[in-house]
Amino acid sequence: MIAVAGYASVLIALGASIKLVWDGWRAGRGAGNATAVRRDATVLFAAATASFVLLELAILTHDFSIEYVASNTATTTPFVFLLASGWAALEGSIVLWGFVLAGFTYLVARNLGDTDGLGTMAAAILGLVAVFWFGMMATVSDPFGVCTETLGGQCVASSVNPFAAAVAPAEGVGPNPLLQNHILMAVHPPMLYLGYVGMTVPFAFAIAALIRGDQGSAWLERTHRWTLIAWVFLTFGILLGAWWSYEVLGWGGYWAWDPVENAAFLPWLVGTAFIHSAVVQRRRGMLQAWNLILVIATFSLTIFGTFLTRSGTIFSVHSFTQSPIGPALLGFLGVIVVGSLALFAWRAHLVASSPRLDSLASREGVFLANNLLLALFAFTVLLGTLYPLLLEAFAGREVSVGRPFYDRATVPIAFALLLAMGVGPVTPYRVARGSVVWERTRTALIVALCAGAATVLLRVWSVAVVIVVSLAAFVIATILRHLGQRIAARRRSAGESYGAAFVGLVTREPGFWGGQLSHLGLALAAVAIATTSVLSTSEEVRIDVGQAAVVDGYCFVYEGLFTNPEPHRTVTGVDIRLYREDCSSEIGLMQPSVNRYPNATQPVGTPAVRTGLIDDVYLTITSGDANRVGLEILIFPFMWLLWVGGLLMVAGGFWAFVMRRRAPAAADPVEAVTAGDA
Amino acid sequence: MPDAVRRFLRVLVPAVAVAIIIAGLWPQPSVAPSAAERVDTLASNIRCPFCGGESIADAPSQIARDLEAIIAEQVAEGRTDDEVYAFFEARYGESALMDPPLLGWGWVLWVGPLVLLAVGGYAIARRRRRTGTPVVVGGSPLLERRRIEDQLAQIAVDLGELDGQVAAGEIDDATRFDLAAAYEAEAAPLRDRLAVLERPPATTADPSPTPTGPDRRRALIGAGAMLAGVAVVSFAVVRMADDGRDAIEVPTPPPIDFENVTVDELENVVARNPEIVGMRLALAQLYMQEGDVSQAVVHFGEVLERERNPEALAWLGYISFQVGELDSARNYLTEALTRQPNYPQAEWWLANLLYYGYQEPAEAVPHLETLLAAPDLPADIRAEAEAMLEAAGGTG
Repeated sequence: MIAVAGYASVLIALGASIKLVWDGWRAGRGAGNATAVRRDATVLFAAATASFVLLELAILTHDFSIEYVASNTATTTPFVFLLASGWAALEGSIVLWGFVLAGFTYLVARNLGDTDGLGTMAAAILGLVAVFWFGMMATVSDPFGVCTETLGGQCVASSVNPFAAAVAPAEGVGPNPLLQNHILMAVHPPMLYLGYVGMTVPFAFAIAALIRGDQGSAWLERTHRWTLIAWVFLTFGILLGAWWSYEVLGWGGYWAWDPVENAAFLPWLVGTAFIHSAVVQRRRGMLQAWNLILVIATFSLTIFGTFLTRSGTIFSVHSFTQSPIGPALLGFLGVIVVGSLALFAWRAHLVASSPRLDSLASREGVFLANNLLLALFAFTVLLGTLYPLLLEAFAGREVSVGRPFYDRATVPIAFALLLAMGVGPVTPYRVARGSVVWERTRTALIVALCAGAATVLLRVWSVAVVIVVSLAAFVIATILRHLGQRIAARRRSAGESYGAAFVGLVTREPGFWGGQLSHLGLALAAVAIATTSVLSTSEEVRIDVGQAAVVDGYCFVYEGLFTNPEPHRTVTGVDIRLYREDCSSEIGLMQPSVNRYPNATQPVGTPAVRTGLIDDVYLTITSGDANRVGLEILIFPFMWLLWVGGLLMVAGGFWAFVMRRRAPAAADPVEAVTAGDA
Repeated sequence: MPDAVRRFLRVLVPAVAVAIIIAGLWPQPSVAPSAAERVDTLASNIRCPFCGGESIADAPSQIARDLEAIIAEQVAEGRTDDEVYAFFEARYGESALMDPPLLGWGWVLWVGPLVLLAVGGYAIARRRRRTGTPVVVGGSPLLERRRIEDQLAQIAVDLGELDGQVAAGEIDDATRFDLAAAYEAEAAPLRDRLAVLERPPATTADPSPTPTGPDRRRALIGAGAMLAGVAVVSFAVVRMADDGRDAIEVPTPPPIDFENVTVDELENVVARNPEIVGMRLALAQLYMQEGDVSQAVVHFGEVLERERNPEALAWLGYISFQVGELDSARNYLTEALTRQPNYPQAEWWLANLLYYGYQEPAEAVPHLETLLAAPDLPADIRAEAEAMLEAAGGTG
């Protein structure tokens, strides 16, 4: 029953998106109005919501006649993980994606003016993306496929036809143990998807601007807030992913240059470049064509990322199965890239701005450097991700590209970016005299050198750490000095108090100060990345029960083994009492554990993490019984800076998003575009 | 604080800081890395097979710990780093090295970003104001007018902001004069064109200028290059999918009858049900029958990722034996026997390994005896085992 209703909702959504393309296209060419577009988008949103809700309903009612439910949930799965199963596996994630896309499309359509040619054309592009997405749900990635064959109590064959004779296994397989080991799995994918799908909106407006060939930078103004919120979600999603990897996966890292991590990082890099170069276009009317390229690239990379994540081309914790969705996504990616670039080549001269850079030594010049560096960063990561694929396909050789390559290739780029981040925000537009820039950065340079010297005095001998600490101090000091100067100026001119001057400044220039907050966060995160990758230590110890081991200034006492049977798993953990080096002043109890799930014979380890101001103590079990435990002890200096820095980045983007007023949906001044284009 | 003191401190503080940094980071006389450091470096540069792409140092699994122990052993034996890399490359293939050497296609990884840096830097460096070129290209008169108005508005904003910049001390008067002149020069042809466009429609019928050549050509070349790139990547991925991972191709799984299924069919079923170990084992054994050992190893490894299955362990032991990796063969077979004592296949292979591989017939004796105690042993193996036992001097 749910299968029939669910499949019907998918088909309705597919129909509504086809209609949306048609109506949007007509309205965008001046032959219709926005009323039909709004109606189509509403139907699309309603149907997509229905499909999402019905899938959740099927999961919560344990309808194992639906293959997705039988293969990804079980009756013993706790409620939260049942909910999360709605998007944790392949078909469900596509449903969530479609739901978010429909929601964004609805929001865009709701704000359309009646003769809004650009907006309706953009709605048509959004509809086109929705056609692909719901088309996939109706065919190769059907979340409501009914189970038609079981083997050993597991569903092994399914049919797209919702009326097919269904067989329901008595019990489902349950979620992937790694995914049900931590609640974060319920939050991390939706955040990333909000970011990924959010990038569809700027893309749709950019393509609409190209098709219509008019309106200058209207597309940019109207999608500015969309880009910001998509970036905020993407950043938050990546941050949560890193945190999940650190807290749950238990290998003691937060970033492995896994192809799937790269898949989320690539659109982030290019999207970040876009946010910066959009400033140049808004302020100086430059780089219009380049911005179009960046938007197209960002969106293409989100599809590429989905392809990497979901097609099973690369083995990873994120790719659950191999399925026909791979070629479909690859085909869609091809259509997007080929179509957008062909359109760009054909029409870009209509929207391109003229080159009017006054001098390379200027804010514009630093923005260009930022774009070059971010593009280079993205290209390097893309190259490292694709290289093994290409080599295997063409030379038949299986190679891997790992951390050593990425570290060596991206660390210099990151240094240069930090430097640009310090200098850029205080460099004047148009022409920057050396004396002006020197005056504005001199104090920060002294602070940076002192920070570097202090790091050395703290007996840190790593060149990389000293450089990063100095650069980060430079960035932060420049920002704070600039803030101080601006506040002082406001106090002089308006006689405000410090607080009023600060609030007035950051609310009147939310884009700039939100950006600076993000820069500050990134500087802190950079310090954490340097300290945790260079200065962390790792040691393997074995401790008898009641005995102590002293490692890196901490004392670990093994107090015993415990076992907690839970409905969906069995947790076996050890009690480790943590003391300072003297083994008498207690810090706390740590309980690393090993969790066994009935649907997997390989247990999942969960680390215990003790976060401190100076360093994190990170424990995983390597072996053990009631008498003796083997522990891997990792120490990560200043780990918390990464999370705080990441959250500041998110907060900065969010501030800019919230405080910037929405650009009004301008009524279309060009009435007969069709005639004009001919 | 007097000005002189301030000025002095402004020089002194950074100078001292620089001195401290330089003194602290001055290259130390290079100390040979300790054995533990070498093991760490090696382990983080070698990929752990069957660990989902993580290095031996990063991967949390038991296999990774075992491999780490092997590295430590080799370092203790005095092998050089290159010898250790070569060992792992020979054992697990080129993909064991996480840092592709600068050989063959490896240079692409290094030259690619540098080429982009050079091209991008060049493009930015020559991205100056172009004067004398037509600013406006193509589009309907209506659109063109709008665009010109936008540009004039931008120029007006630019001119207005100059005053603020002079007031803030960002630019001096001479620069301001130059910039204002440049903006005026930019605006002049735009105003002329606008005047033409604003005449009655009859005269504006003059066709708008065609797109400027270089811009368009460059856009086409760029688009073409990127298309080629996408084509290459698509081709690569599709081809890779064909190369033994045809799972993507066939959507409907066949009824399951392990006797008669083809590799492709079974591969498809396994891909759809990656967690069902039994089917994966069957697939791996099918690959063994077909002689495709490398595919078989992949699937046996996948099985081990999910559980320490004795059958998979035994087969991996057999394969290791066949390729001459005696120590790892022994580890696999021993583990298979600890997990499933008296497992005939593992006993038989372990006996063979000890007898022929290690040339230690005496050690093979207990395994041969256990094997012969099994009532349902195939006759040919029983005969062979008895012959071996006799030759080893055991009790027949």
